Amino acid sequence: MDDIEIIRNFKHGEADAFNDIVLKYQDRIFNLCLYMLRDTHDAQDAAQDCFIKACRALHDFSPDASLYTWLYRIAVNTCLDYRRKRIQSRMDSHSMAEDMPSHMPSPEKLYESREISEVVRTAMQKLPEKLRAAIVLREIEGLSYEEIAEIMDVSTGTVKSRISRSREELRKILVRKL
Amino acid sequence: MRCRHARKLISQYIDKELSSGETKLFSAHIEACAACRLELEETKELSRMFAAAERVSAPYGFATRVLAGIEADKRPQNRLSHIFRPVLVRAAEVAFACVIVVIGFFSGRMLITDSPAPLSAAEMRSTFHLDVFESAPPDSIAGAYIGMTGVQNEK
Ligand SMILES: [Zn+2]
Repeated sequence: MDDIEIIRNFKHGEADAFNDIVLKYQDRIFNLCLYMLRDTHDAQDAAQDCFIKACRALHDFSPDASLYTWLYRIAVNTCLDYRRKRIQSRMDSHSMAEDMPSHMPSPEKLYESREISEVVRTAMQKLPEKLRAAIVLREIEGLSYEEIAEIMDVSTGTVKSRISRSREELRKILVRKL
Repeated sequence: MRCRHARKLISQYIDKELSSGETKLFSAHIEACAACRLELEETKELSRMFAAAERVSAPYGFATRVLAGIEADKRPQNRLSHIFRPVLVRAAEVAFACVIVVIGFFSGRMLITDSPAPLSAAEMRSTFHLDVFESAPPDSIAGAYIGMTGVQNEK
């Protein structure tokens, strides 16, 4: 079922219409939140909040936008807010440096997707949030500069520079060490 | 093209976002300059890591929890429409409401007491996390509940 049909069903009050949205997008939204927040529980909370906000706002959704960029925008903003709240509430905040693995896994091990995912997610905690959001949307979600600009509500020039700076930082952390 | 300029274009080159003119100039510089070539190779290596990194699916039971959360979010506005809902779903809602009341009780206590909060917010969240459903095997009561509500985690 395509997104236009799902939204039409939702606006006509079909009880299950939102289920279709959750089932269709849960993996992508959860994955995005996981790469943004690193922690599985935080990612679940943020992804759940994202869908609740989306359900509240969907009646006002305009069909000129695409549903997935709209959902991604809610998810990115939820993650940005989530981190802000979490940082405020964590009085015992230990430095991010302590969270880095003390040694990088061996190259053979590294080339297992789960290991790589963890190493990448950990390294990304060093990036400012807006850079992190841009690089996740580009490299993990595979979106174009235009789509990322729409999601983050910035120009494509800003997207280019955020992605470039993210790569520069991550290259120093992840590639130079190998 | 100077190194400074070439390095700024590496990221866009990888994303194929350079114009054909820029691509020619950039490629010519890369041919000639070993330092920029190394930086390009390292940046490509980073992209290969991203490509190889795991795409993680939402955990088991996630959609069920989301839909329960949405129901709880709607409840105050249209309470009447919920009277004839199945008993188990009602029971789950009551359990969820109890959790909210308990969280409210503890957070209220933290507001009125001078002594340090007994639990950090992170500890509290893990204590009340709805993940109790997560590892439920399909033949357990929780599994039956998930089955009855008709929500599948898989597409
Ligand atoms: Zn050069």
